[in-house]
Amino acid sequence: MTQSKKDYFDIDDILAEEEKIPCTFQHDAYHLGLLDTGSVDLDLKRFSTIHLAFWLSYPLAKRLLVSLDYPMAYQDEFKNKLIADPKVISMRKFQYYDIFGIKLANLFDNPKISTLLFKTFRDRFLDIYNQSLHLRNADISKSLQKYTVVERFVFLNGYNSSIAYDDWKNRRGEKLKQEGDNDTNNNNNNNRSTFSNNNKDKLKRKRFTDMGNDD
Amino acid sequence: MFTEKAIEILKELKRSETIPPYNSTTISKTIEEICALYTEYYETVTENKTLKTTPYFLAHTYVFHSSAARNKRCILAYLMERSKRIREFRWNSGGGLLSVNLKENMSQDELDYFNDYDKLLNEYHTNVGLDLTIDTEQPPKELFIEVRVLKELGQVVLNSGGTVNLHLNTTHFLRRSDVGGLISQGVLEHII
Repeated sequence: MTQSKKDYFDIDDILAEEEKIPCTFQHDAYHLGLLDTGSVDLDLKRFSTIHLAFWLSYPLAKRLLVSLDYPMAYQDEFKNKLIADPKVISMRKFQYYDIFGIKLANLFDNPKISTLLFKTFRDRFLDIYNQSLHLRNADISKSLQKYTVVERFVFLNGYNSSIAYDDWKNRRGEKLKQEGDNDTNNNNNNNRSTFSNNNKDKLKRKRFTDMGNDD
Repeated sequence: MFTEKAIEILKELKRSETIPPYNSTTISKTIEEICALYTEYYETVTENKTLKTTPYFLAHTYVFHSSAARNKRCILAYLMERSKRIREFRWNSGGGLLSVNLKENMSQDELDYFNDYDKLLNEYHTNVGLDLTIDTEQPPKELFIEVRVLKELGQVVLNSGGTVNLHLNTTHFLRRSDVGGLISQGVLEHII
């Protein structure tokens, strides 16, 4: 898998690669007993199975030193649940389901995973998009928990742009504000949590760095 | 397992929206870990010169090498994200002033970076003849705006040349471009 320069520094990409894959060693391994927390031996025995993070299993699998199995969340049981009704499943435990899934699909060279990810995302997307534009004064932290990192990005973009549009329409942007200040003068927005304000600032910031980015 | 500490600082950074304290202890510990990993696999490879390509030793080499590379990637990503946030702060605050809090959270190198970046941006704005960091929300309607003083400042010389007495709770009708920076610093409040 080729890694682009952008991904190398991407924190989400790094954290996604922390997800574990069950690996079975095809040979004895010198002084690797420390990988298996249950063992006291110095060497790792052949055919022992350990859950290793993606970033570690990938180079080992590439040289055929280990054989890989699918992680739980990508085995049939969970997959069937996803196919049955993608919208109701909470992704709280699988924050990186899509980013990690893409890596897995490349690793196993399995187009079925890609198809599954695509269908899941497509079915969930419309709901997320709709909610992002209509959940204005509600507490969004609960619904955010159910999304994966990618879905959260979609949601927050929609959510923040609808707020920004509203601000623009009512010419609220005219008032100069203190950096990081919540617009307390707005009665309509008193309900808005600091959380969303932070995110609004974040979005704003993002725009600026795109302009000011020289790397 | 290796690289746990390095992952921890990335999570710490991700939890925060602003610039959290620079975690120099974890960084130096991670660098120590990289050195230890390197020494270990270098010794293994040199001691077993003839056998080093057998799967028995190869697995060991790959695990140690990948862990070291992983640690490096985490630290670089940590520094990269922080420098990005520092640049963002300069664009949002519209001035080269850091609050005491932020100053404490940054390392010496980051402070130098901020000052240099600030200098660069100021130079650019002078050459272009326009401060790009103001009026980004919406184009202004009026040239002059009314402001109230929130913090006692005394006599101030404005960019356009005039002087004004900014005493606490007084209001003034001033040129927008003169006071934009003071408003984002929280010294003045814009009244509509």
